[in-house]
Amino acid sequence: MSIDPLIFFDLIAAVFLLSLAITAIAISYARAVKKFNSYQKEADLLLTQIHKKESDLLEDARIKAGKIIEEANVKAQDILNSTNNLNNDSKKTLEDALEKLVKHQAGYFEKVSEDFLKTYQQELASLKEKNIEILRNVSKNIEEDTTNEVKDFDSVLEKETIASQKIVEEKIEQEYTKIQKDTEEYRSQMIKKVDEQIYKIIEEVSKQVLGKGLSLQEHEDLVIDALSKAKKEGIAKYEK
Amino acid sequence: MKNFSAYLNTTGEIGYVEQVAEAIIYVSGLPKAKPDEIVIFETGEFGQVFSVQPNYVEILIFSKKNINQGTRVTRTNEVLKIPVGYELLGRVIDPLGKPLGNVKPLKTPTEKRPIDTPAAGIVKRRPVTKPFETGILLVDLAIPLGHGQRELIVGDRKTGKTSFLTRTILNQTRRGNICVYAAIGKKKLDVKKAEEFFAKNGVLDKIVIIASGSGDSTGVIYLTPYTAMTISEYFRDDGKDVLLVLDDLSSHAKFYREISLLGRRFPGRNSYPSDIFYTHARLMERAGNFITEKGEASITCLTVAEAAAGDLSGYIETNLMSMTDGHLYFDKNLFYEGRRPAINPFLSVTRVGKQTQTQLRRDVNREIMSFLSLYEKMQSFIHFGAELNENVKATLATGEMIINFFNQAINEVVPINLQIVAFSMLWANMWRRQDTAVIRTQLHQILQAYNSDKEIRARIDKLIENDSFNSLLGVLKAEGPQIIKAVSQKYGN
Amino acid sequence: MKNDSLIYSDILKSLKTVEETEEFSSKIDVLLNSLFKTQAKPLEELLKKLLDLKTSGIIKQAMSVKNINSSDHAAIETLLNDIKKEIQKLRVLKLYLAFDPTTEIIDNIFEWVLKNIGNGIILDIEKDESIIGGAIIVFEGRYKDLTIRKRFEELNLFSAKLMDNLK
Repeated sequence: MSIDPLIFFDLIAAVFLLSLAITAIAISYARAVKKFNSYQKEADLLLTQIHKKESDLLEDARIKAGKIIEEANVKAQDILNSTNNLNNDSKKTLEDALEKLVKHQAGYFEKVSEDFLKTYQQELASLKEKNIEILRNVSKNIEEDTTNEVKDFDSVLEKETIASQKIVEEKIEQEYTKIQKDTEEYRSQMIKKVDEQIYKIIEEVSKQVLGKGLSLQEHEDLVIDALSKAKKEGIAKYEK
Repeated sequence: MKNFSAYLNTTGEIGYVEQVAEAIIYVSGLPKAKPDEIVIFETGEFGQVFSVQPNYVEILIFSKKNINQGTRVTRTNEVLKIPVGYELLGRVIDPLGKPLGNVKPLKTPTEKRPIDTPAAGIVKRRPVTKPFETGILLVDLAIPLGHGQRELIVGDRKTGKTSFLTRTILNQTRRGNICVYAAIGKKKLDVKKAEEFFAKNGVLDKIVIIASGSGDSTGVIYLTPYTAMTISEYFRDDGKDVLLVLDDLSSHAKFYREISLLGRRFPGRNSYPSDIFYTHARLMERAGNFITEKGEASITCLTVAEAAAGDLSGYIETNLMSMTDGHLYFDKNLFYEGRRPAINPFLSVTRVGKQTQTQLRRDVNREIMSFLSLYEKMQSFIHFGAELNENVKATLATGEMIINFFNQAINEVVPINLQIVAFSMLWANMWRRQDTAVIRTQLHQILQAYNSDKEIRARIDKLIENDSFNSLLGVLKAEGPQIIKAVSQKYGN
Repeated sequence: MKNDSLIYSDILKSLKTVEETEEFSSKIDVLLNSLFKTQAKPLEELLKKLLDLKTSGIIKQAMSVKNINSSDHAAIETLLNDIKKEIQKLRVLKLYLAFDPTTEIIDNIFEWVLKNIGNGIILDIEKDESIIGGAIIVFEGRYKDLTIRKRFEELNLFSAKLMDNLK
């Protein structure tokens, strides 16, 4: 087996070129890794710095807040104390004022009530006298009026009784005539009833008598007459 | 009625009872008897000639007493007439005109009318134009009726038909119209309960009750609706609008079937006689809207039919549906769900009711019906268990609110203006995020306020003057909360 | 069969009242029942034993007219059934009388009815003394009260007014 020497040399050249390329890539890769590592170190440093700054800020903030709160507390305490004092002062002034007022009012009321009582007593006395007078007059008037009225009543009563007596008499007359009429009517009705009953009895009796009074021949004739009349009136119109 | 001998001498014809079969009596003789003529028995009872045969006459008897064979019968040459007049108002009478049960005697009216007259011709008729308020929200808003309409109330037993009718009667009598209630073959206790209900609500003096119990003779039960119609016609001729309630025609058909079978008529479908349609049709045709000497007057006829197991395709039910101007179907399932009244708005029909309504009411009607059908469709979505999006949830919530709105208490009657306003307020979400009990109480308060406070009534009535639903909704945005506040101030909490 | 009905009408002319007819009918039934008994007896004997003279005379007459042999029991049965059918077709004229009529009077009335109204009619007579005289006639569902009682009521013979006038 013999390969073409050209091809053989081509192959060796290709392999040589490939190995060159590979080494070049390897070197650049190593450089890139080194750069990356250095970057990484920088980044780490920055991060630690940031963290430290954060915690410092937080400390500062806490301390400040604590201070503010202390100051506020102190102020509040002062204000409270001052109000207490104010309270006590105002209470005392109020009490004094109230005492004075009460004393003044009490004196005023006493005087006024005395005056009122005096006037009230006077009025009462005068009223009593007036009432007694009026009562006296009134009873006298009543006496007079009643006697007058009684007299009037008497006369009126007399008149009325006489009138009503007359009326009653008239009424009795009327009633009497009415009753008489009613009785007359009743009598005639009864008589009519009795008459009717008599007629009924006569009717019944004559009916029975007539029935028996007819002879057989007469009966027969009557029946034949009835039949002829019935035939004339059309009892047998339709022939079957 | 004169007595037996008088009639015998006048007509000169006699018959002898040959055969007695419960309600039908076969009589020989009486050569000139006419159908529907009244005949009188020796013992004082009377009956109506049902049919004439060559050898005998069939008589429908009106009394429960036993007639002996050989009893003599004579013709009266008259048809059956009943006394009609204003003296009948406030009374309970039997189909022959005699008072039932009351202590005070009935002053017999002077005018007598024959029971079976032909219906008025076309010259006397007028189209239905006035709306008929039942006072029940669901009917007046979704399935409206008109004065002069014949409407069939059909449904299973115990679905609330009679209580719907009593509320309608209550509303109509409160508005001044006369009501005639025919109880056909009902228990005496039921009739008594109805009478007491009307008396308690103070409207008995505008009602005539014609009652025949299941213990009466079949002939008398058969006459009940005809008597009721004759009495209604009397009031109509006097210019009054009458509401006639026939409760119920399916049992009337059964009693007529009994009579026909006893009379040896050939049984047709379901053993009903072949003239069962004519029996009811000639009755229903006498109702309607008419022109009388005193102006336009109407007889609105609400007939009840009991459908076995909700079967609308039964013989009598389909007959009646073809004779009437629509029907209200009382659904058993809705009743068990708790809806009162249990009317199914999709299976109910009104043929002449919508033409009587104003534009506003027609708008409301359309909204309700389309929303209800949408709600029904949504119901089926829930059953799938799928995740519901916001729209569906909102629709369901509104649907539930509206269904609760339509549930009405036993003797609650709502005037029409208030119905529209309340529904519009509901539609405009005035009570969003509140539960049903609160809405109920508030609606109740509004009803109370409407009935007692003139100012609030005037405000609500003014709102009705809007001529379209959308404009009403617009006005309500401002007025609605004010009305609620005013009402709750007066009556609330 | 016009001939037949004429023959029967002759025979039936002897039946004047409802009672007579019913009696005749029940006797024919008796004869029919005994006609086919196992111990077949001759007709003569049966007629003599079961029926009276008059009835047997009628039947014998019918047999002779139709030329039926006395031993031909089947034909006799047909004859008797035919007679029964004819009896059913008879119409009843009911009379309420005020008295008990004698047989002669009944015959006279029957003759009159036959002459003036027609044949095939039998009488049903009932006594009601309250009618005084005359009769109530009921025929084919028509009722005519032609009694003296009715005349009295019409004339109001016993009214109070009349009595007063008489006074």
